[in-house]
Amino acid sequence: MTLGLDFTRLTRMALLAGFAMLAIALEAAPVGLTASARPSPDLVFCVVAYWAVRRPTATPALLVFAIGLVRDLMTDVPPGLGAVSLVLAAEILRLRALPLARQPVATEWGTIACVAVGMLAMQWLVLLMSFAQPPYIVDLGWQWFYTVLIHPIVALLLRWVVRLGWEHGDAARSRAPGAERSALAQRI
Amino acid sequence: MRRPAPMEAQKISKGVSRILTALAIVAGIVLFVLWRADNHRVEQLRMRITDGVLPSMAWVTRPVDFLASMTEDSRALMDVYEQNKTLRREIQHLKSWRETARRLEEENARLRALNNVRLAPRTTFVTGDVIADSGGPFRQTVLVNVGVRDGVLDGSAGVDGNGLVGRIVGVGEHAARMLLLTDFSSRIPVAIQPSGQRAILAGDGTPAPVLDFIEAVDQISPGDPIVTSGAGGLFPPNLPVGRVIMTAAGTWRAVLAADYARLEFVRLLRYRPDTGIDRPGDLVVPARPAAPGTLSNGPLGAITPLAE
Repeated sequence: MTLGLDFTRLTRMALLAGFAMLAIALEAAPVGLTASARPSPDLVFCVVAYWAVRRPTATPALLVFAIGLVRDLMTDVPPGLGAVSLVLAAEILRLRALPLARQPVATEWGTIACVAVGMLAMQWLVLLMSFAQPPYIVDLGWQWFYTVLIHPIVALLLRWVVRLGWEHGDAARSRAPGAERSALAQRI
Repeated sequence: MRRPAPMEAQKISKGVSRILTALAIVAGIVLFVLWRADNHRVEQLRMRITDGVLPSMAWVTRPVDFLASMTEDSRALMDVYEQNKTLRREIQHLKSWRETARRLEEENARLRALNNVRLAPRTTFVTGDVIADSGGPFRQTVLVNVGVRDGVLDGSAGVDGNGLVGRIVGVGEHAARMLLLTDFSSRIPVAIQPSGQRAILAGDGTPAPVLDFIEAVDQISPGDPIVTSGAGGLFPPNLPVGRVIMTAAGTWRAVLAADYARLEFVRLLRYRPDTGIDRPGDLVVPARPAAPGTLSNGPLGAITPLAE
């Protein structure tokens, strides 16, 4: 909201970083090494997307970039490409956060699915244009499908674990600036 | 506690965040370009970060790995009867092979003795645990928990119990990244066995890599064993790789011997090819009083005699 980094916001950012690292570790677990194995869902995107919509002020681009970069380097995505696409996706979702707060959950899900398509398409196109070997579109399609499928689960889990919902979010605050905030929301 | 910020401050904060976003994007693009231009340097950076983050990751990857192998095991339990029958049949089959192998071994030993062959044990290995994989659709690599500390070299071959698995493409202090044979960028020089035909095993993201640059296709047939040829000096020759198959489309491919579905441990070979002699050994030549004007004025300079 302001330039000053208050404690609540820092805690939220630290939580985002923590969950993102957890997601990276889960993605990197050695499951399905055969070439025909389906690609694992993009859990990091799910976490970042949830945060960008629910807590836009706690998802600064630099933090998202750092998360994306660590993911790129850990799980062998072309370095920089994954991070840039993640930053762009998070920025788009951050800008849509206020309108999305007034919409049903399905709209948020649809928006995130569209952003995920854009992200994968951008990665594929950049690889193609830079004469690197792009992955099979079928594999990207499966990754998108699993990501979209698993997003509600990630969202429910995050909501259940850290109670990070709409009610104390930035969007809610902007709607009712004087709204009473609970002690939990103060903490998280 | 929090008052609405004045218009000015809000504008400034928005501007700053916009600049930071732009900076992040530019940094990402620069890194990507650097990766395309100088892959090796970025690979080193990758391994350094992996080295740092890896130990803290094990407590997440291990339970996931355990759960996955548990589901795999329970699935195996379902068809244990079928498996038993298959194994019995295989044992019957292998018994006859055992006799053949024993006979061949004896013959081999006899011939070696006749030839007076001395095999230099130049290949040693270190075994590592597969601790992470790339997971996504971009590359097919795995992380192994042995690194420079354990003597792993960049470019080492990795094998499981059955055959070649991949090649080390990045080494850190405690970890190494191995490119699987199925990855897009994997190219391995191989030989197809009975005929000795050379080929390049080129990964293309499918479970069965393509056999490229076969000289005489008529000399190979489906089922022929494929081994590493040792060309290039990176891999030891005669490591089992797989068998030749021909697809319906008419391309030659390899069914890999390595069992990627149950890849838990890999053996990384520390192989150094024999020292090749490719230039005259100027140290061996006894020091002779060189006639002035002949050797010292030669285009390549003087051959320096050994210090007495």
